[in-house]
Amino acid sequence: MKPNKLLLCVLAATVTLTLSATSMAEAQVFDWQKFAGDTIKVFAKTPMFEEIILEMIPEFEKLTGMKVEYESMDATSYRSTLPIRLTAKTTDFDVMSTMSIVDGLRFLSAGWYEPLDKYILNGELTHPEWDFEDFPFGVQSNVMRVKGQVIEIPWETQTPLLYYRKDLFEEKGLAAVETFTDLEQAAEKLTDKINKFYGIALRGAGYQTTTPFSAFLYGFGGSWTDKEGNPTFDSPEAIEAIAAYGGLGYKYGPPGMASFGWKVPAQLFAQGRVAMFLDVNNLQPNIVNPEKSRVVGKVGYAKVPKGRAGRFPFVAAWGWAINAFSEKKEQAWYFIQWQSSKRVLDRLQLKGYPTSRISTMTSWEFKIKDKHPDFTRVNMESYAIGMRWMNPPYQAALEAREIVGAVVTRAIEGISIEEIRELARQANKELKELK
Amino acid sequence: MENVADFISKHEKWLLPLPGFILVFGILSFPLAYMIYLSFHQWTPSSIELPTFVGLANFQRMFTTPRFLRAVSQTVYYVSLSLGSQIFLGILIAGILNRKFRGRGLVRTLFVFPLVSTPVAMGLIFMMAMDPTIGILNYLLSLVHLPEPLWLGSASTVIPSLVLVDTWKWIPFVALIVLAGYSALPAEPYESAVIDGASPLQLFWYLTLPFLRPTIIVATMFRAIDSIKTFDIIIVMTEGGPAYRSETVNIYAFKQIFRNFRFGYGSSILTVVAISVFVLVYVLTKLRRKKW
Repeated sequence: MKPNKLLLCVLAATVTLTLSATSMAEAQVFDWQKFAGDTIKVFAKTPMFEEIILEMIPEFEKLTGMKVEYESMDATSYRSTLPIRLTAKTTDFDVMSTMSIVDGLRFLSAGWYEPLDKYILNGELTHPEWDFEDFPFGVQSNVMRVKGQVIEIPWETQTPLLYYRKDLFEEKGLAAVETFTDLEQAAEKLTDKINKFYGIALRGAGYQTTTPFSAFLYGFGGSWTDKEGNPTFDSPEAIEAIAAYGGLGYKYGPPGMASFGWKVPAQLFAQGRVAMFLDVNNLQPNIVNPEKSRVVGKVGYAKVPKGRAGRFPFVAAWGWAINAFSEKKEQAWYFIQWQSSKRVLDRLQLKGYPTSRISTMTSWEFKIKDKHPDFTRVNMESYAIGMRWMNPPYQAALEAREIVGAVVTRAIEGISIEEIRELARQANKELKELK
Repeated sequence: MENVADFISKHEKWLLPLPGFILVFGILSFPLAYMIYLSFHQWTPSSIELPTFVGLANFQRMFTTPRFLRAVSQTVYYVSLSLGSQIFLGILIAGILNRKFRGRGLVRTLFVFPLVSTPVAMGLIFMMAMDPTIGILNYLLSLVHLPEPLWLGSASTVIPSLVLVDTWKWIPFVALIVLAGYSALPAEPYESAVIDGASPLQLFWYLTLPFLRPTIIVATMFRAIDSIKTFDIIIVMTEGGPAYRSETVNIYAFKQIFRNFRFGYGSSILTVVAISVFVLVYVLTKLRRKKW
């Protein structure tokens, strides 16, 4: 073959190969309509913003051509029902809710989670703008990953903070609460039992107490376990933390605080009956809703108080996971990435729900429209220093929460430090026996 | 044909309830058998691990666990208080409703309302009403300068508070059963007793109560079984708190199964509860037939 003809053949082959490669690359481009016509089923623990999601589901259906069947329950019923269905290897739902800090170890060992890494890394299945790195590092490691695997995509970020009546603080000339000592002093000055107004409200009902109590435990220098994983609930620091939490409730809390579930402190604060409460950030939208609250415009926010060991807000989140037995895992991933996309989370953030993306919390649009910049600032500062363990780090997380929560409940009833010590010792023994 | 008719006539008391018995047995037998099977196993729900046979270990654990023993004593307290108040008030109210007065029909109709109300909804409403700070009950008590209890927020008042809600709901049930007994009372013994000079209290104690005994025993049996099984109002209002102080055996079993995922241990608790209920029903049935 003459050299000119050889060159032409090589050029032709090169062009052909290039075109083929390009068309292959185009074939890997993400397509929202890939599973058009399919139906996916979502089984959720009722999110705080459920009415918004239900309004938005038709947008997802139009975008993808898929149909969504949605079912939800309150947290207690959901946590009772989900393991039963998963034990039966159900295919009744494809997407489920999870909170990895509570469910993670148990669900992973039971084989109930579908690991999400392969979906995130697959360009055909994940929109290029979805961006895993847009979730803060603390959220990635404390919420999304369990034992190195990504199993949850959060729809929110929970962290505890102190809500307080800034108008009353100004009236009494009180400085912002920085330490647990400040907290007690403020609660004492603001309590007026004759007029049934109380300094502070906290959760008191058993296992639910670990949520705000964890900040006390670590702040006083205690921890759920030592480095070897042995429980340390009866350490001197833990006893001090229990006594501090219980003492606040007993001396300055509303009557009956030992029975307060997670909603009650926020309700009493919104009704103008308590000056402060310490609880998670996603209760804020109801506190500032004029239809549900009498203290709109009077609410201040502060990070959880600092103890001698530091300041320890946890970072946790409810989010979405894929049922390991689902027959439509890729379709399920489409719903999850849509609901956790920047566009959807932007809208939730603008409605006041603390979400989990850096971009949604720092966008210009949000900054301009944010009616509670101090609330956003406290959230961001808490996320930056957040720790993982809202509850003891056991597979039997709910049981562990119940064991420690019962001691905290008793402390709120005003028992002596010796009784607290004995109850904590017994609780620690029970924690050791947990699998 | 005559032989078939004779056979049916001869064994009527067994044949008539047979279809119902087959249906109930069919529905109940598998869950019951599986519950007893799991009682002798250890199993945490998992799609990987299967139940492990452990013999009597679950029963041994149960009877040596202080929390279970406390749940038993709290169940006895709850059932006694509940039954006592409901039977006493049910008989009293049935006696009133049995009298003739104006508007009796309307009163009887309205009286049934708590019975048809949804337990969970009523539990939530009472929970709000019993809030020591913003609840309506303490507000009303404060208007008449009476002490304002902590209701569900205190160890000493939590079970009486739950009994109050349970009694509010189930008094109509007891009253209706006893009222049916009133309608079957014979007139002649009362006429004779009145002629002999018996007072209303003597009539009630020596005639009415003995005649009503079978009916009262039936009402007691139904309410005793239901009280032992009470779940909805306790789980909604207190979840067994504060600090396990309203945790009955049923609630304890529920938590072991659905919170702590100890299916075997929880099943063993429910097996013991089922046996206890069978014994109770047997005793009450014997009492019903016994002559005073």
